[in-house]
Amino acid sequence: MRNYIRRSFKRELLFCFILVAILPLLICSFLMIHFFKVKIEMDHQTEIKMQLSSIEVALTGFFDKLDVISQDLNNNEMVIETLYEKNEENRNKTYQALYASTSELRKVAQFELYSVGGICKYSTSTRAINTKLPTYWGILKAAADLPDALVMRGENKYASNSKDILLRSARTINDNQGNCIGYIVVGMRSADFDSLLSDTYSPQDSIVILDGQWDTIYSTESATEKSIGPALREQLMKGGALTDLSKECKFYISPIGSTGLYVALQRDEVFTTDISRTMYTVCAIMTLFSLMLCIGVSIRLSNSLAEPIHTITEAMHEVEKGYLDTRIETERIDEFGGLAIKFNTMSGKLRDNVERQVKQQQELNDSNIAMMQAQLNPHFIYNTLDTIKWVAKANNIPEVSTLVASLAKILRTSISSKHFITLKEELTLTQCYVDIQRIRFGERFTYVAEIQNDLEKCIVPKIVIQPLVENAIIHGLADRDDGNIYINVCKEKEKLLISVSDDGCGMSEEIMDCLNSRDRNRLAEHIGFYNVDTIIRLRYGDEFGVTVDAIENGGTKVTVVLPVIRGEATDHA
Amino acid sequence: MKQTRRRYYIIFLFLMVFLSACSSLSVMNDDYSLDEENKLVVYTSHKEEVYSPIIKEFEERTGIWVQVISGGTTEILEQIANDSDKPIGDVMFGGGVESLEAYSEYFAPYQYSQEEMLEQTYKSDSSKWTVFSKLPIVFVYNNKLVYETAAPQGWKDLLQERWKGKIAYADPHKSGSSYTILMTLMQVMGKENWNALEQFSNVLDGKTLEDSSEVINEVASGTKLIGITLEESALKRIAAGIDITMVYPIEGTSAIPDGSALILNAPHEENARLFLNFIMSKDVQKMIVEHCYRRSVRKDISNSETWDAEEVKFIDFDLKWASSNRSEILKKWDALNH
Repeated sequence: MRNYIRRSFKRELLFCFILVAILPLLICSFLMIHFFKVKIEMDHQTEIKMQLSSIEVALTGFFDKLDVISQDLNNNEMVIETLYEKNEENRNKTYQALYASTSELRKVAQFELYSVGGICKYSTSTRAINTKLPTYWGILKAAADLPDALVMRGENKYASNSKDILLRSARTINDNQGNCIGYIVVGMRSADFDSLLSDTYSPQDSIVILDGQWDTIYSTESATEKSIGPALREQLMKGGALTDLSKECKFYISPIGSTGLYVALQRDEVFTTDISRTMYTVCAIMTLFSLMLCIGVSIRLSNSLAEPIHTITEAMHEVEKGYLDTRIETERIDEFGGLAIKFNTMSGKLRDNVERQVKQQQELNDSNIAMMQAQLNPHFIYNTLDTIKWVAKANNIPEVSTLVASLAKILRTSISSKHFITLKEELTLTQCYVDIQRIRFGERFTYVAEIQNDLEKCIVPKIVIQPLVENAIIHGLADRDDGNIYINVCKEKEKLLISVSDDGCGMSEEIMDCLNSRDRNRLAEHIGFYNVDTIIRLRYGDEFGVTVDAIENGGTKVTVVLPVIRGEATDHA
Repeated sequence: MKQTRRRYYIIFLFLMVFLSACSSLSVMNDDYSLDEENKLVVYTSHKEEVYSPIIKEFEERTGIWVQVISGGTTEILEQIANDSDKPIGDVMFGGGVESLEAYSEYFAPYQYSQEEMLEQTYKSDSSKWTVFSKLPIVFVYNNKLVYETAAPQGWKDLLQERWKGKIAYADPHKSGSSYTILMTLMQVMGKENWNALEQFSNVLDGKTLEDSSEVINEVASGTKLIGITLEESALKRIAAGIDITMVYPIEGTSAIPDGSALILNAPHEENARLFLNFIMSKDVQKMIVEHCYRRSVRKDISNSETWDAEEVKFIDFDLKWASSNRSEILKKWDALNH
């Protein structure tokens, strides 16, 4: 995988883009949804806690008042005395006392006084009173079992004698001896709960009041469903967690003070699976979109990077194959543009360099050919010259013999395969040449060679002095009856300087310039001079070579500059 | 390279810890749970109006949470039989005693603490079940269609030709009480008196109702003139204002007993015993007499408080004969009706 990605620039880019674009997006959206959920959940919980506590306050407040009022009634002498009174006037007084003490809560509850036999004697109910409650069963039994306390019972819809009463609270009425003579019973209907709980909960929630065994006493659900209480109870009986009951809503249960009752609140889940799904879908679409964007941009970018690289690679390949004219055409002005320009410059320089090399090679070849042509059948010539020498000696013609001997010496050196000779040998060769020319020209010039002894062993390319001397004789002293040729060899700054001076007619400035500027085409007359210069430069580089200077009172001085190399003359020095 | 990778891992790890910490912030509900010892599972075939006040009162008095599983008698007994390896329920509350007897192998013997206070008429030999209440068989007739003087006074009257096709009676195959009615008729007319069976079949004109609860509806609506049903149903409907009259057969009638039983290896046996004692207590027995029109089996509760002073004559119903000959009699019954 890693290698797969690494192998392509495009894939590397794509991978990086995905890393920097999609990963943060995913993490971001996940965190956002999550925090959103947690935040809403927390807000809801605080809100619900407040609601539950306000419900609890309303109910406990109510029951506390109930406790106080029922205790008051229990302590009311009149109530005790007149419970079994038949006299209407006295009954009215009792009713007045009952109404007076219950005025505060009568709106939300119905107060009744029962005889010890369970027959309703007084009631604040607007309806006629004919209720009879069993004393061995239900609320009155519970009240009798717990005298001096207010007991509460959710009324079973099948057992209750007044069907719409949901919750009854009761307390025994005891006479002065502490005997139970009757009961105070407080009944609450659904409407009573409605008004008691109004404004304590939000209409989107459902409130259920449960008794100690979680049987529903009161519910704000519509009459047809009433399912919360039984569902909660069933879940508890099964031993399951209440949170598992439903995915669509949440339940919050809280005990109501010390009444033994519970209030349950049902709220629909804000984050239903539907909303979550929508949010995740949006995330997925955004991820997909940015993935596509990543792919698109990475392709674009990698193309824009890879294309010039490809072009340059191609161009380099061309150059490798030898097409040095290859140039990169680009309009870019960024780093790649710069690179292309550099490449073009490089290939241009490379071409120039190669062209120069080819030219130099050609020049070398030319002089080689010339030399080879000059060497044509040298042995025959040498033998012939030897023969001529001996014939001249036999016939006693010393000039011929000297001429031939010198020529032979020159030939011997020039046809030898050695390219380098010592300076001494070179000077000897030059002396031979001068001897021949003196005979030719009738001793019209003198020749002097001065050399420091320690330089005689220096190694130089063969035949470098002779052409210069020849040049001096032919051009400098051509039309003169007397002349001097002076050769001086000296060492200066680790360079060997060989100067050939003549006091002849000198050279025209023009030719001198041509020689010094090494312009071959115009040196037809001075080809020897040129050859020497070329040989030296090819051998040792441009800092060495031949220069020409005019001497003040007529004449020319040609100076050869060579490196000082001592030792045996070998071919490859 | 390795170090950077390790750094990534560490960052990733922190992120995961952070996220999981976030997700654990929720739900404030204190966990409510119930101890097994506070639970009781009651199977019942009684109607809700019968069992719910009793169970509510039991819960209030004891603080035990009761889970009620209600259904038809046969259905529940089948379930008890199926679950006998690992019983779910603790108590079978309701169901005819002959059905309970048939499934007695799945019940544990149990004796009410005040056994001496109970009538001994329907007493289980094995103590596997206890009679909870009894429901006498009565006749009802539509006051608008039948003169009081003309109304049948006893079983013999019922077999007269003039009631042919006018008697509402449920199929004894489908209704346990209908079968008991048939048995009562036969025991009144003489056990081997197949003639009575034939006469009854003739009077019914081969027509029976699907459900015993239909009987009173048929009489009240005037479709039939006379119905044979249970005292409980008749009283309840009369109290609800239906214009019918109830007659106790002069030859005597039988009371269909329903019982309760402790399931074998009950998971909450202690509570089950509490419950069984509770339903036989005076309070409950009084309640069912006063509010459910059932006859108590306690000697110390006088049924006459609720009903007319007229003393009902009960025959000595032979339960064993009735249950052992069930298939044979029903076969004969089928033969007569086809």
